[in-house]
Amino acid sequence: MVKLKETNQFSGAEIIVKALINEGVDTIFGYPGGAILPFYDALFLQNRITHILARHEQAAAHSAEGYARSTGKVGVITVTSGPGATNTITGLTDAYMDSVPLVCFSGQVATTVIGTDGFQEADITGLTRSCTKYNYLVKNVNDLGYIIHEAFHIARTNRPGPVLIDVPKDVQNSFGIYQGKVEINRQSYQIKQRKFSLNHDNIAQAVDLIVSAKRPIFYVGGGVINSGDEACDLLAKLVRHLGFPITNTLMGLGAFPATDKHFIGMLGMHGTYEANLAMHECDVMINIGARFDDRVTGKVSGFSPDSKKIHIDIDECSIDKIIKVDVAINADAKNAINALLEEINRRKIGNRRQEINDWWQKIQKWQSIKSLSYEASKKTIKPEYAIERLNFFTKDSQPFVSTDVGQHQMWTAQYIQFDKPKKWLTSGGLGTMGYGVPAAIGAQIANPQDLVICVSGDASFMMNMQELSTIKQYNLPVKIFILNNRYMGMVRQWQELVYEKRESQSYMESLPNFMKLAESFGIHGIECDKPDHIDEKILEMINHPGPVLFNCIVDQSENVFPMIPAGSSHNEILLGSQAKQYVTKDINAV
Amino acid sequence: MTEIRRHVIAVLIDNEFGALARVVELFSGRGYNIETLSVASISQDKKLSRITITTFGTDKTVDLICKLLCRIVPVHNAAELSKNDDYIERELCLAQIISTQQQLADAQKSLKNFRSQIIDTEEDSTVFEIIGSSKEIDEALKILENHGLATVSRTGIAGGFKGKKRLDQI
Repeated sequence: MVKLKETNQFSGAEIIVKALINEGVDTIFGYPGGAILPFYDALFLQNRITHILARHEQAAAHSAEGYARSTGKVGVITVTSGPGATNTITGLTDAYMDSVPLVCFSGQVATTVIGTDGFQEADITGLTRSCTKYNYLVKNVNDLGYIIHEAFHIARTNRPGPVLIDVPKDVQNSFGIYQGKVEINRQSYQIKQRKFSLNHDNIAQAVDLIVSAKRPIFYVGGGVINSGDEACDLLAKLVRHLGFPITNTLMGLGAFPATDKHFIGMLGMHGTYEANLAMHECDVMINIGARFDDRVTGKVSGFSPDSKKIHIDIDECSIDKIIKVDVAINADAKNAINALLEEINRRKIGNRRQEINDWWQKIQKWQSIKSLSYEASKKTIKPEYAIERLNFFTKDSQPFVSTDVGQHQMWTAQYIQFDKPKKWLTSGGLGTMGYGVPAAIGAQIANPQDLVICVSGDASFMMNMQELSTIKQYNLPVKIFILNNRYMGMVRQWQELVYEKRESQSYMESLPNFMKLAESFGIHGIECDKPDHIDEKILEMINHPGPVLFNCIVDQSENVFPMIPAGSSHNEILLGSQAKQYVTKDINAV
Repeated sequence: MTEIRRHVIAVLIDNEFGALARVVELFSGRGYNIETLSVASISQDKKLSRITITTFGTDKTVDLICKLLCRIVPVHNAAELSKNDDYIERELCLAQIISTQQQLADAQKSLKNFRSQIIDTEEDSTVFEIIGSSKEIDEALKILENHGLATVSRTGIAGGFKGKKRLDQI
């Protein structure tokens, strides 16, 4: 029964709006439906929050991710019950894997109907338990305000992640007390935060290793970006002060300037030759905010066999999970880097460039191999060439770049130079095809004046291409740059290397006419299949004031190299010229 | 590290719906079976519960599960009790036998060395309450099999560290 409205009482729907405003939220992404209608009505009656209507709830979730990752703020999603909520699961899992702070509100059938197989009912708290940092089913409207503020606190603190709040329709409709933004005092969560106190012995041990290092390397991941711009500045200070080489993970690109001479490229399965060999041969590894992911380590038993390892991570679960380390520092990156700098200054340790000169010479020798080189072509556009030219024409404006998943993602990671954090939006952990376009929408909404490019592939693009409609509705000048090779390129590459070229289901039959597709959505289309024309077409794309769909028709058979074959170690990395030496050591490795 | 052995894990957790599911999921998601599980609120205000779990697995996976348990928002503390030998465990079992008077007398005699007592009798049905380690209860039940054992209900173990060592001090 709906209670009559009393003084200082608000409906649950109004409480959600008020709490969002109190959290500083001005933009949300979502899709209405039956069980969330009371909230959408409250939204209609206010003017502080802008709602971006996605065309699919999965896309709303990825847009919220793009928004969150390009700003450092919490992304917010509002969807209805049942299919609305289940459609967000891929986005929530993606955010969980890549530590993106999100709060997702899902409508739910009325509390009296829960558990009766009601229309559009799904047990969404059960379904999302393993892909959210935490989730709530709100049964009493008086708890709603506190829960929302606690959810934001949990989403953004410690290792960030997605939090879901399931709000039954009767809870949105009934009236209750909202006490405003209150301090979060959840004891069990405070215990976790208290753990991140820096232990001086650990810092001292780490600095001992740093001083003794003859072949050091910084291995830096997305944790530094999540820690904030200050953490990235401190990292740059630390690396330059010591004169050590640094490699970034896929998630860490932009945490340290790619154009700095200390940077030796991305590491991992498709990382540079120099980064992977340096990881293999180093004697001291300083891991900050990376989690020894299998894309990075390759064969675990052959991973960096002769090094002492320092691991700084906010998530204790990531420490000693895959690789046993010598010095573990369970802390936020910013605080840990700061403590390292203080200890280094206290001991008056200066630049170590001269002491490690032999190491740098070795690295330069590896760099001279130019592992990212490729065979140029005058006939077809090499995808690497297309991205190189894209980087050439856009790097000065420091664009936000999102990608989907596959070959184009790796080429973009290899050839676009990120000098600043939060510019690079890619699905690293989950590897979600369909991430790129909605993520670019989120980034463009958050940064309306900036250039936002989505590099995609023909297959990935089609997974969320309905979002062209969202782009049109909000007139977002997103540039979608499709490397169209008429294949699921990375699947085809594995089939070529591992399955004797049996191209099982990886050919993209019946692709749409992308020019007409763009036109039908009212978006400017550009097509290019000649290497000679790529420069002018890219310039046309950048200079077009509105959204662009760029169909870049590239070489069909190009493979991503260098490549560490699945189940191999860093020192078994293959260059493009060595593709024939590919040997599958572990058919179960992915 | 890769040897499969028995592990006893204790968890302090907020007493709220869904909390137990969050804990159980970490085991099932890794294909680990929970051998025993006991849970009850342990504070006067009923806000805090304690869970004791036994499972079979490798040290490495159980170490990771313990860390992941600590990461769950409503979990205050979680730790493996069985890392060393400094822990205690007790289980309660209700065992019913359907028997003749002679069989009952024999059963009582056989259970002399166990902490057991009869808590219910009706016609030829007798229910024993047996308390001990899981191993002791296994032994008692084996004996009762020869004396008309009919139904069994076990609580799973409750456990803790020996002495003053506490879960929140690990």
